[in-house]
Amino acid sequence: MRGLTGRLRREAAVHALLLTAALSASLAVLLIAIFVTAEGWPALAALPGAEWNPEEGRFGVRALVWGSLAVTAGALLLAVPAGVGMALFLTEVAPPSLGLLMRPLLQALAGVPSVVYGFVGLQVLVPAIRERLGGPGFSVLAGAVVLAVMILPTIAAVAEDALRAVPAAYREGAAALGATPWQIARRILLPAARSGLATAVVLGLGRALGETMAVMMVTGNVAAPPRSVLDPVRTLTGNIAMEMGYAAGRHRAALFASGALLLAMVMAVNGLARRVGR
Amino acid sequence: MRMVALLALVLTLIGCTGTASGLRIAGSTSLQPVMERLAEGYRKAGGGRVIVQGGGTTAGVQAVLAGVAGLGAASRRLTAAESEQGLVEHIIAWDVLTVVVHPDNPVGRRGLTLAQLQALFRGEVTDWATVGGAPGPVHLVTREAGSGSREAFRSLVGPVSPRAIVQNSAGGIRMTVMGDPRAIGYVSLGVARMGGVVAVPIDGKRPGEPGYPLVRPLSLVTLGPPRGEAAAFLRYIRSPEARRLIMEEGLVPE
Amino acid sequence: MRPVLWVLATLICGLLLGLLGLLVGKGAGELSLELLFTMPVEAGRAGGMLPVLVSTLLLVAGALAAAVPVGVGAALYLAEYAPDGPLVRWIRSLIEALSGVPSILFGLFGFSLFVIRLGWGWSLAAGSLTLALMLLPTVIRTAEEAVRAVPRELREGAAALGATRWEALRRVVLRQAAPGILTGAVLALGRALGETAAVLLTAGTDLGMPTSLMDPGRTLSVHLYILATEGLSEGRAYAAALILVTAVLAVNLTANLALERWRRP
Repeated sequence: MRGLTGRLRREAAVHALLLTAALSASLAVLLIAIFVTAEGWPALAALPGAEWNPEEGRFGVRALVWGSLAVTAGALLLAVPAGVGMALFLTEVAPPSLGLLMRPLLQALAGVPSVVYGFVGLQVLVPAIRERLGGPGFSVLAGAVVLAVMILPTIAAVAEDALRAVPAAYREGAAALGATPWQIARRILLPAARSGLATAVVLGLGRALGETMAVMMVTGNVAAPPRSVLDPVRTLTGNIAMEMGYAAGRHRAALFASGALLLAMVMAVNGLARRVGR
Repeated sequence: MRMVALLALVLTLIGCTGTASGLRIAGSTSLQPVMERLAEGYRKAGGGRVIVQGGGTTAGVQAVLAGVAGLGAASRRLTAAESEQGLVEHIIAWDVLTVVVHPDNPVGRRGLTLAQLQALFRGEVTDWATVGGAPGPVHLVTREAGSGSREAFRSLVGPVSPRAIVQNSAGGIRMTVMGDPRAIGYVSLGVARMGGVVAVPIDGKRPGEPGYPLVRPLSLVTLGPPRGEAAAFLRYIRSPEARRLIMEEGLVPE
Repeated sequence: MRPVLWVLATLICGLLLGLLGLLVGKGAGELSLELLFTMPVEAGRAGGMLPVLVSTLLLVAGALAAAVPVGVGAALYLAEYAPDGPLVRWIRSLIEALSGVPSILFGLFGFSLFVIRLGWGWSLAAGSLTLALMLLPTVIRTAEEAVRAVPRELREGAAALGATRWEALRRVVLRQAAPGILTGAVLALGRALGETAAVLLTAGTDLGMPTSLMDPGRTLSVHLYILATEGLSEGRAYAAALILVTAVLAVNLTANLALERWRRP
């Protein structure tokens, strides 16, 4: 056996090394936040403006924030009922064997890369909207649908956990009083699972806000507030991805500043998720 | 444990062999296809490896200034500010900026005047019927801010409405116009020739005809006079073989 | 309520299966050994996508090489060494916060730090390190779970034999936790394969065959993005999508099955 001093020294070294690893991992997010804010600092004041027009030195992100919010709101409108419905299906209606099949399917849906969703959206959804509903096809609607499909698994999974946590006694009690499954769901289950469901929604919101590729490919990237769901739109994320490679000077700073804004928004939403979940 | 550390060290050393091997060309995505073919041709002619990167003209110019790229691919003329920093422009071809519409759009045959084109892209014309097309809303398609093509369009034609759909490549504009009978956009002649869209005559002239108003120079930019691999590559570009490749991509060699 | 939910469930399942069916239908025809193992011709319109596959492998390998050691180290610290207290709570919150950061912001960070400030230019190295940051939370989470799951008795037995904490970890705990840790790495691999925005901004789009980590490279997801938006070849875009989805699904399925089996033996 090797000398005790050596082994103890190694022990201390390893302890330090592992602590360094943990600290590095935790510092990463701070580093990103600081970097992004620092690079964006010179242009922060320009952000509240109404127009994003780099060629003329205007870097107002209002239209972009509208775009992000519009697409996210649309996505939630579609994905929350569908996700909660899916969760209800899995907990109340589906036989266990079906659940065993469907959960991996949902998990698989969650694993599909966003660029693939964007691609299919571009090939199938955009032409369909253009031909059936009008407009160029690149639209808030296209973005909302693609996003909805992407956040659906997250919402369904968290909602399912929340619904499963409702004690069986509640269901049995309500059934004993003669309630139909729908009445049980509406008046007992959903209210009881309220905080978990709210968490699901907020998590979906956070994911939707941060999504870039798929949305960029189907929304048309028009930096102006949309007048209808069929209008093209640009999100904060898409804006950064589109222009970052070619931006210099103040333009680049403005993109970083919008990145800092996005980070703040997402962090706020995630913080809300944690608070709501309690 | 020691094996792992040793392996990691070796891998790191292999990975960090300094900067990437080869001449880097960065810049205009309009130039990317032709640059890639010229890189292929240069290699076959015995030259070294050439790495072609997109990113847009402005990014390419910045990369050359920063020393990150040996050559910048520019699809617009250098600004006074850029030239003052010591950048030298070597025109290698002329690009014919082609306005494209869907094959079903009558404007593709009738053509537009420059004034009509300007009004369309400013957003002042909202119905195709005004300029001789089938009635319906106009869907403008443009390139992203920072693109050399967009710069060229701006200087040759005029400003673009903020409501125009933005695609970040010429191929993307072609794809959008190909799928939408109401769309109109601008690409280089080479991309237009890939099919699926119709080139709109401007002021009665087709792209490629003398007198066609929308032409722009394509150049490779160096910091100071060209040296080493960059100079060799530029020499290759003047060769008949390279000129043939340039023409095959739908451009007019200088 | 029942019929409505049945319809909903069927629609949603139909969605995923339809998606896969579309990719297989339009992409399978383009698949061939030539596609996988030859060089691209004419900017990807024809020929194969060998450099893309190589770039993807290099990028992902590099990302895992960076993320797994740091991640497992951090997980070990949190599971074995960390005292209860505000510091550890902070560390955990920050790591959780990291998992919520949108991918485009990682791209911004990586572009600013590696590509510009460190002067690496667009490179696989920049992409790998950026991606590694994104993978850290996943690796840490699964590794910590794996390490915590090792029964106390094993640790106590090692201690009884005179081992220091680290020796016990290295020879006993890690060996037991290895399958779980590996699964975490595989999950991270799946995420890495699908990442596009951050890689686009850091590793570039060059189609050439990379010869070192400092070369730029086009990964499969970026290649799909370019094929899709530039319309160079619809068939090849579908093929690329099919390869990507198959790879990601296979990786995720393996990891999730392994996790299931390992969590409930």
